[in-house]
Amino acid sequence: MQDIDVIHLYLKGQASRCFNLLYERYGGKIYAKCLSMLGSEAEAQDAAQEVFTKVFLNLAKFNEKSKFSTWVYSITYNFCIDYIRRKKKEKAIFSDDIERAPDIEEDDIPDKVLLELNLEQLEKVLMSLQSTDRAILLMKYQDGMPIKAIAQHFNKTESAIKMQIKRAKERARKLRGEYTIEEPA
Amino acid sequence: MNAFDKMQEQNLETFEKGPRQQMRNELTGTLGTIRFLGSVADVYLNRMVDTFIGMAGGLNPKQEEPNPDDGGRSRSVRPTNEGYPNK
Repeated sequence: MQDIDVIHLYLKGQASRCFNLLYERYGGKIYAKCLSMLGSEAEAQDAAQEVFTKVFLNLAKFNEKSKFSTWVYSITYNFCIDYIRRKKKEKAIFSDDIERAPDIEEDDIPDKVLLELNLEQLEKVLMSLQSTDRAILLMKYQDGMPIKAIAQHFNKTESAIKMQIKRAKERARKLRGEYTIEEPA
Repeated sequence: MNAFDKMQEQNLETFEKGPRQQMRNELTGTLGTIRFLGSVADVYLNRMVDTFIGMAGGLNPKQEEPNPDDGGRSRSVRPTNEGYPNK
């Protein structure tokens, strides 16, 4: 049964069966993303429960303009970002300077700088980033979202998003001890 | 499988071994409570609103019109076709 059919059934009153279906499909992934964002299993569990509750309380508002999974993960990332900001009192992530920056050229640092990290290195890189940057990397490299969609989610320009990704790669490269720019193949 | 995929796999394993069932139980309880409170509100909210309106002096649409002879103090009308004397 497709997600949208499950949602329609849920809204018609078959709550228990539909809850179980959606929980099996998304419970683990919501938790996994919360754990990647928050770095703590206990916090990830609390966050995942709140996200799931939020998803179910707002199912009637899902407007089918995007995939259900995209909608669920958006709620997940937004919740985690807000949680981190409240907890750490993070300052605004996107400064006006970045917004006014000229369009950057295509990112010249290869993706493999991030993709070939081991798990421990990747966790260090993610935890060293601000919450929004973490979400951007997960959206791009884990969820496969295009830059345009990520920019729309955060209501920012594509250049701003590319800049954040490039900075994350630079941080990863420093972590691995690489100081020379690799020539693209 | 790249590093991000491996991280997701690892986190999913953590979920399966750890909080999966506990989270399910707690969510079932939470959502059940919310649905119950919603049902209660659906049933009683209208009655509560009517009660407050009545207490504030507003007319309940089910009430009959006041008797104009006593300046509207009375809130019920004695039907004239049943032999009740009008004062």
